[in-house]
Amino acid sequence: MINSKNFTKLTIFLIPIGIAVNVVGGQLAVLLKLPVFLDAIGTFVVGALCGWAPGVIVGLGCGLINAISLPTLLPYTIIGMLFGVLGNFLAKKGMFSAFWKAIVNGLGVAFISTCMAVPITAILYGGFVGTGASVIVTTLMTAGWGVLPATFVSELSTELMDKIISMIVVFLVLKAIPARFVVKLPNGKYFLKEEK
Amino acid sequence: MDYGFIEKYNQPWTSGNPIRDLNPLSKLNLMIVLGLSPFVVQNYVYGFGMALLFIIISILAGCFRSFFSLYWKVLLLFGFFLFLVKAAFSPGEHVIFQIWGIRVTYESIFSGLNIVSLVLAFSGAFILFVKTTPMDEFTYMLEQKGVSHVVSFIILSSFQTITDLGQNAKIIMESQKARGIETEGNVFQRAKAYLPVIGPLILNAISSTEEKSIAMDARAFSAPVKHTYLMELPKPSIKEKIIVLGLDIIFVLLLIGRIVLWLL
Repeated sequence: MINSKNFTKLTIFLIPIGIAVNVVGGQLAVLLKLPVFLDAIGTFVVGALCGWAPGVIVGLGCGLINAISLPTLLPYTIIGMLFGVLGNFLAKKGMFSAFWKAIVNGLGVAFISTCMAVPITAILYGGFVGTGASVIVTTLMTAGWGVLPATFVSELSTELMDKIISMIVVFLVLKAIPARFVVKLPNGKYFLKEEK
Repeated sequence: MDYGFIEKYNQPWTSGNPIRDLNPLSKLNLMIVLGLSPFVVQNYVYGFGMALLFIIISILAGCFRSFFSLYWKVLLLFGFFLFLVKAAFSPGEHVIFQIWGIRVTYESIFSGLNIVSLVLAFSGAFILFVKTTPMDEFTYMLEQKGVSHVVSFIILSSFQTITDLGQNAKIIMESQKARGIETEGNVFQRAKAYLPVIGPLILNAISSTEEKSIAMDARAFSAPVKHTYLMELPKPSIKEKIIVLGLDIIFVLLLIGRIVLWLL
């Protein structure tokens, strides 16, 4: 699938950067002790700028690299790969053009990723993910909630915050990239307005 | 320059440790077979045995320290806490202990042990593979099997870029602090510091790709010729091939056995 023929040169060089931005963005959130992950920004940026296939590769690479430090994250890689597709889709629909759209994107993406993460967390790990969200899950389950609703509530609350902030960052970054660079990328046409 | 140093590159690359010198693809194969076998066997004693085996292998391979620096986190988080959560909330008939929503039963304790053994065994295999296989050796073998060099570039460059961007992030953070941005305080203050760091970081990285692509093309990155390698790996020995193939066959037999049992 990957060779220099179907990907432009710039796309190939943007993939490692997307992966690194994901990882470093996550590290930065930990460093600033923020209660969110912020580890999918690179996937969305590359997905939006270069198309779904590079986005999926960034999601896959980032998932594998995160799994090195905690292999239990491996099943969630599939969600990261989906973010690449979503980034491309949102770019095509012109959803990166205004600030209020970033919030809408955040809500939509958070809902989709929660729907995919809940089955993994609930079935595989019994609601336990090893992060702060596990406290909410166990508290709710102690109060008599089932595994699925408890996991859903805790995941949705963290995902909403995480994805809305992520999408705002993605919006601001995409807006700030100079047009002379964007025009060389496969999805550049969705970000530039034609001058008449 | 030392003659011995140059001579080193004329020989296939070995580290002197028989486990680390296994072919990267053999290691990948063994990782998948050994890491997934507890899912097929479905016996927690076997799963915990596997986890113990990986720790012993890491000692034999001389990488216990780097292996365990990652593995203890899995052991603590998923070996201990996941077991508690599973034991407290899984459904079951024979109640041992009950308070509010917490119901500890025989069934929940066993389901906890089962899931914990699976997670520990698989995580152990994965971390062991990463810690015993240098990525450049792995990508070298992939290229030998006909995978494009672009894949090698993406894998190796990702690790390098993570280090680079991590350092950049620190520099940008220091600069923004000097400009008066608070990186400590309550959550909102810290959240406000995130954007001024990540924004320049991403934009810088993205704008550097153009120069990088010119630099790489000047070094014949996309030249359509056969590549040569500075370093070569030894060919896998017959013994190694037999061991890997034997374990593969045992795994397939186990899998068939499990499916037959499941259908009956």
